[in-house]
Amino acid sequence: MRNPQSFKTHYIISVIVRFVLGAIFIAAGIPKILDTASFAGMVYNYNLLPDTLVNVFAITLPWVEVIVGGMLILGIWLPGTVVLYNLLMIAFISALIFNMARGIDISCGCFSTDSEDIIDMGTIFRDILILCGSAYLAYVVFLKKINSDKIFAKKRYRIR
Amino acid sequence: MIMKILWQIPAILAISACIALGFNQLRAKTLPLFCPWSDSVSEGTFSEYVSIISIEEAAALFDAQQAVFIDARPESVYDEGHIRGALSLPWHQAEEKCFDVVENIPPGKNIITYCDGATCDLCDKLAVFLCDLGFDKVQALVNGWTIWNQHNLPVYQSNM
Repeated sequence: MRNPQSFKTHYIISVIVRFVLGAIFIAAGIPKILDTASFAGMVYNYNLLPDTLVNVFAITLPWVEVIVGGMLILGIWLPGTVVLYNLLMIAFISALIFNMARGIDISCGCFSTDSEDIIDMGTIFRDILILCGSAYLAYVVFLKKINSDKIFAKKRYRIR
Repeated sequence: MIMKILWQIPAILAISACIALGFNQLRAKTLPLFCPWSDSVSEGTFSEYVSIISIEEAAALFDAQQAVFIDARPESVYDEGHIRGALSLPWHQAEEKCFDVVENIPPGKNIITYCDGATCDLCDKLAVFLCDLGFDKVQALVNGWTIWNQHNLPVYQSNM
C-alpha cells in the first residue's frame, strides 16, 4: 500500500532538488554563452573532440544546459529532462576523470570561462554530488512515479 | 515512459541547437561553426611581443642549463608536478610574488614560461609581465607541461 505522506515528502524534496539542480545548470551555462570563444578553447583543451566539432559543441552545450535547467525548474518534459541531466553529468564527470588520469592540468570550464579554474578532485567530487541529486530525481520520476507537470501547480502531483 | 524519453531528449537537443545557432549568428562576435583548432594554435594565438619556443629548443636549453623555467599555473598544481628545477610564479599572484622569484634568476639566463593546455595563455601573460619587469630573454613554451611529459623530459612529481 502506498503511503501518501511519503509521496508528499518525496514531492517536496524533489521540487527543491529540481530548483537547485536547474539553477546550477543555468548558472553554468550563462557565462559560457557570454564568452563562447574562451569556452571553445577550453573544450579544445579537453582533447576529446575532433577539431571540427569543437566550436559546434561550444556553441550548443551552454544552451542545452540553460534550457535543461529551465525545464527542470518549470517541470516541463520531466522524464526526458531528468534523463538528459543525468547523461550530461555522467559525460562531464567522465571527461574530468579521463583528463585527470592523463595528467593534463586544464581549466574546468564548468561555471566560468576563467582559465585559472583548474580541474582537481574537488571538481569531480562536486560533480558527483550533483549527479547524486539528479539520480534522486530519476528515482522520484521513474520509480516513485511522481511526475509533476508544472512546478507552481499546487497539489497537482500525480500518484500512479 | 520510455517513449516519452525517446522523443523528449531529441526534442530538447534540437530546440537547444536551434536557439544556440540562431543566437550565435545574431551576436556581434559570431563564432565560426568549424575551425581548424590545431592549426590556429600551432600558428600562435599569443601576444606578438612574446616569442614562442619549441619543445626541442627548450629541452636543449634545459640540458645546457642555460634557462630558468617558470611555471605559471596555480601553486597547488605546481606542487603536484612540474618541470624539474622550475620556479613557481602563478600568474594570478605574479605581482605579489615576482620579486621573490626574480631574486633566484641568474642574470643573463633565458627565461621560459609555461602552463598547460594548448590554448592556456597564462605563460604568455606571465612572459609579457616579465618583459615589462626588464627581462629581455623571455619565451613561452605553449602547452608546456603536457608536451614536456610527452617527450619524457625530467620532471618533479610529488609522491601523492
